[in-house]
Amino acid sequence: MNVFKREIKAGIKSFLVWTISVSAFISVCVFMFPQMEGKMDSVSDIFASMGAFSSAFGMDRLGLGSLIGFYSVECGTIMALGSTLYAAMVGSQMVGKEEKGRTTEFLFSMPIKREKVMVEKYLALTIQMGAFHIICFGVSLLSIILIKEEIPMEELLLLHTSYLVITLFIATICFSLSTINSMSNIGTGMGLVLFFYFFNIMANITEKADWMKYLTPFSFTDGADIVLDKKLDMKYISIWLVISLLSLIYGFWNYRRRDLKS
Amino acid sequence: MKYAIEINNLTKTYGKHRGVESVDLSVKEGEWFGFIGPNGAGKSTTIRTLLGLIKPTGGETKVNGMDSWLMKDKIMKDVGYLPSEAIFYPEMTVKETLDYALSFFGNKDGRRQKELCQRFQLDTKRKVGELSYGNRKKVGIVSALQHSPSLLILDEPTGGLDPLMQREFFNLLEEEHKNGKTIFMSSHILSEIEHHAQTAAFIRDGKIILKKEVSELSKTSRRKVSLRGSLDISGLQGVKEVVENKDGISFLYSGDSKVLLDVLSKGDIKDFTVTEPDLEEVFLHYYKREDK
Repeated sequence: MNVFKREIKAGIKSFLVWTISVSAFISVCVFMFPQMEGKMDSVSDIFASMGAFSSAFGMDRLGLGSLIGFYSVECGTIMALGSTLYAAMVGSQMVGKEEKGRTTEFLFSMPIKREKVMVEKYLALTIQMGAFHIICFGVSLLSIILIKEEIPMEELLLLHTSYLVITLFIATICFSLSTINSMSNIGTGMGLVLFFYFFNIMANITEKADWMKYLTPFSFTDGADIVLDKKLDMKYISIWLVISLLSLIYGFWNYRRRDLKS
Repeated sequence: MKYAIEINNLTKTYGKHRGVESVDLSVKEGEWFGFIGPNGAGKSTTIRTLLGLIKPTGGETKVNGMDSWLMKDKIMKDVGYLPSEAIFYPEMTVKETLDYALSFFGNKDGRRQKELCQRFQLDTKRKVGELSYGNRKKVGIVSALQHSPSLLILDEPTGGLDPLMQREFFNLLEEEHKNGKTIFMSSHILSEIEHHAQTAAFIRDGKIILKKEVSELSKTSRRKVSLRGSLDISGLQGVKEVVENKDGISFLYSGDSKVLLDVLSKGDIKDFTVTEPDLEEVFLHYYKREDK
């Protein structure tokens, strides 16, 4: 497990920066809720009448006056975007950085199979993502406790599960793309995330663009759907699970067979 | 006879670009083998195929009887590799780098590492990213040798090392060789090959153009003739590499000695020498481009 340990150690600074930043943003958002609570009823009415803009973020269906409504819109956006951008950044360079940093000759002059390098790197990636979400979830709970609000545990668990799942999907897709030498850069991964996010906003604006929900994994992180239905949309999760697994299989196959640059 | 390295009909192309073509080489166990070629000739492609970093387009490479592409992880347990540009993780210290490398061999005994670091005067607390090219090369040397492999693959190994360290490095290699280790060393510093290797192969434009024992290479029937004065060599057969200057002429001669002496006796010669060509001249002869 030496490659795994090295990856964890190498990624610790980035992990701390992203985890502290996203947790802090969520915490600040939660702490803002008591001050805004009273004013939110009228604000909710304004948002609800803003048409496409409020539809894009699910504000036409969720009342911002309730903690879970406020949380899923405000903190949900931070969590979904923050965690997927972090996943894209780490995933995109996990494999490709060896060739970019020209350490391929060093790593692969060691008695280790390419598949094992891939497994240990992928494990390090998923552990980092998992730890990131556990900490962010913990900070969310703590913040809600500190503002003395009742914890909507079921909805919170469902929301955070959806963020964890999309993070793992994005991390997996970017990890697999990084086995293609020309695609192994942070820009590709982050661009992909923003592209998916934009698609989700478009899909939320009008029912005519509902088909676009199939083109983005953000479709199953929609706060309004999760809070109102009290369940995750397994249809979209299944589609993206298959896409992620296929990309992972492709990533392993591609990295195993192709020439490595040094 | 056992071979540490066997390369059979190896061909590697990168799309339309040539890497190597129909390369056949074998290195006996315990042999010190020199692999000579200019930049772009195919040395690194051959070495990277041996290490399993790239897949042959045709043919095969075997190390200690195992296919390089299929059994790379088993092969590398007994191989020490020193790349021409030793590049490591810049954020790691020398000690961390060497321990990381050693961890792949399941070998926790760092005595050899410590001994080699002392020998090459390496400061193990410094970060690799702060090291000069020469010091990174030293890290590469320790990394390649610390697990006591039976085969050393060295790609341009002395680049960046000062003369004292080069001497220390070759002393170390001589010791390893005496202990039965096989050494496969690529270089374009011919004296390194001439002084240490037993066998050498020349590669040019992706093809092996000559493989011989080093002692045989410099003992060819070809002689280098240099003279001061004037001489008509137009009727002399077996003359190559003619260089004329204002004082005289020099050329390589591979014909009959009696004919040469006869021609020399007819010239207006103040002084002359007839010597064996050194490896440098053999090298230049083979590498001289045909279109020149």
